[in-house]
Amino acid sequence: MTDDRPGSSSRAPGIAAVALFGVLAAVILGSAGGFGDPVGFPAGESIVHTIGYALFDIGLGEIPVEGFLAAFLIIAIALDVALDSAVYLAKREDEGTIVSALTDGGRDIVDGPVSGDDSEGGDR
Amino acid sequence: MVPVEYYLLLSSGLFCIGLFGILTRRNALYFLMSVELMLNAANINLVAFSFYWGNLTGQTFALFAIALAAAEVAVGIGIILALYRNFGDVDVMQAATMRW
Amino acid sequence: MSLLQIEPTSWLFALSSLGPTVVLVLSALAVLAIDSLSPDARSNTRLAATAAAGTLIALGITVWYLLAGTGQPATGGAISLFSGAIVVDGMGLFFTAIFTSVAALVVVASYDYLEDDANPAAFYSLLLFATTAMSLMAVANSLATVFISLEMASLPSYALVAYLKTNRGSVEAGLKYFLIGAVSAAVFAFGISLVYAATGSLLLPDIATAIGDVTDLAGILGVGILMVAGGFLFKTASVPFHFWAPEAYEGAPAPVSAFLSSASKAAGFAVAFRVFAEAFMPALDVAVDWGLLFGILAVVTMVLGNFAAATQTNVKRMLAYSSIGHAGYALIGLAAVTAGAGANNATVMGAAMAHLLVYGFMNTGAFLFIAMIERWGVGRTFEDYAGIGRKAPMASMAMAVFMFSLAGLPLFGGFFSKYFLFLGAINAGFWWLAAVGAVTSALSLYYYSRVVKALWLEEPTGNLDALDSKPTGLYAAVIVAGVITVLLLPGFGPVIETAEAAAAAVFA
Repeated sequence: MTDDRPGSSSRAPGIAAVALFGVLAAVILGSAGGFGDPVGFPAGESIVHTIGYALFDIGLGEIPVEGFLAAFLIIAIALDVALDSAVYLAKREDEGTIVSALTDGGRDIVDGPVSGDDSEGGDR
Repeated sequence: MVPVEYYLLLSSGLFCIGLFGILTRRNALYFLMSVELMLNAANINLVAFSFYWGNLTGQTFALFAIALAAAEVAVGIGIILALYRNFGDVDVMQAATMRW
Repeated sequence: MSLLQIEPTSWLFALSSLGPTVVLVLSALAVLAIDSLSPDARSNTRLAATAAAGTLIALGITVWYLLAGTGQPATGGAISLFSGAIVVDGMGLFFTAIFTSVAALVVVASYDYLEDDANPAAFYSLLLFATTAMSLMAVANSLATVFISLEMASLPSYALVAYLKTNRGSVEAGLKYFLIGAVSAAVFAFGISLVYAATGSLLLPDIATAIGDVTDLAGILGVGILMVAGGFLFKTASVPFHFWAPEAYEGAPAPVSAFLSSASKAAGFAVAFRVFAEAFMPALDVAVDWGLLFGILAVVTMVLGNFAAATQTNVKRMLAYSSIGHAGYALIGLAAVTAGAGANNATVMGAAMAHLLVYGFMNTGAFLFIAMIERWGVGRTFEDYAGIGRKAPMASMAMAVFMFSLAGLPLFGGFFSKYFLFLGAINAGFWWLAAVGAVTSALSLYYYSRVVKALWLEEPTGNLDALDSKPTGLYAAVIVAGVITVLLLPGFGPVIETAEAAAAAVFA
């Protein structure tokens, strides 16, 4: 398995992430005065119901919400696409059947390419 | 009542933890986990500010973000599987004979 | 207005307004259905014909809508659907025309490229789904639909880049594209959440209204806008999120590189133009001067892309860097924007849209020529290309057209699109953007002409017998792209008029 012990990888770029947090925190605390009291949701209104209405653009319920029917339809197709892509990538072409998923193995057992066909490998 | 800027601090902290993981970890699976952290930072903001503004747009959108994160991981795992079959490893840096 | 509560005809209206998208989805599903019904048949021809028919019908509907004025001021303005989350207008149709034409060329070319492939159905369906998602990006009018359609375009693109599963270069390219794409999607989502935090809305017009009242939250809004811009810069392969592009374009199958560098880039610009023009214009004065940011990035992108391209020895990689440079030119459309100067803004953005259309044809053609070379197995460097012009004169002639048009020589469509773009930038007061653009264009002539010189003037170095096979689909796609690139010189007038009218409607 990949060597991922502490210290095995470079820590220097991580400082960039810490610095970004500093910047974000400064911006947030700088505009903290701009936040008023939260509006909140009216008591007795069902949030779950309203989300359900919003998904289908029905427009019932007292809590204001934008319509998400378009997003709902698009994500329906997007999940199909993800399934299509993932199945294609994970399928093994050589044996023509899906063999049991690789559990582990890695460096210690198999050294070098696992796939049988590497005739075109490393072509750059 | 927790002031709303605390949620912003929490979410940007989570976002930066995810970014830290991406920049320092070499294993592709850790990489995926770090991206999940960053996406969930966005979800915290969306849900917190949904309450702040009194509309449910943010909460509803957070549901979509969760679904898309799952779809992205599915494709990512597929690519990592293909990578493992070709290189025998899931090390981002090794496959990356990357000329940035 | 809820679609479920009103009379059923409005569903028909919504579907017909989104006609090109619906046709693309149906053809993608048809490809999957054909494959499931006869999984063992070698059905490359049937699949390619279905996919090509789908893209061409979608292109036909788009052009018809554009000519008929659907969603444009002539027939009552933009059509708002699904509670404003989708808006069909001239800009959306114009970009859909780009995506569908590129997809049609790529499908026709892939027919030969996939001749020996075991399972081409996945390729065609993923390509069609990606085109569908791009056509949705062009009409998305809410940050929710923008994010979801952008992701829907990215997911099949990752799989397409890694399509050659046993080829290390392809898988590696797919991994890099995915890694950068996943991070930029996360940054984009965080940006959206910050914009929502500051404005309380995701619909683009509502965000524009709410920006006027942000006052103390301007800092948060500014960070959000910068992060949203980061998501677009990834999609368009601009600095600083450009570094995936040379790797992905080089490792991917050449038709996929053609598709990504033309259509995917245009899709990124389509959605960036709409989001920034419709939602973030008021933020120029309030939160962050994103016009200046895009100006600086445009300069860096143009310089970096063109200089890196000049140092390459591999032709495909050279084209990859040149496509980064062209992202810099199109960025001028966002950079030369000033608050309150509606007419100038529309002129520049329209010119950038027209440039993306011309670029769609010439760049797709150039990458498809590479696909033909890959199929012949000649080689990858400039030296390997020596003398091909004698064995394959038609294709090499088309390649010369693409190269000179990409460089902007005044013989082909690429000249007018760059000319109008730079002229628009000067008129808007951004002479420095035009100057950098002109200088880098002159530099680009150096490396583009190297290809033409190798093809026509140099003696063959290797064995070119492989060139005796003539892949029909690839040839047809390259020639058609070449003819259109030439025809866009005399025919540029209607293109730029349509583009500028569409841009003006967005700024209005």
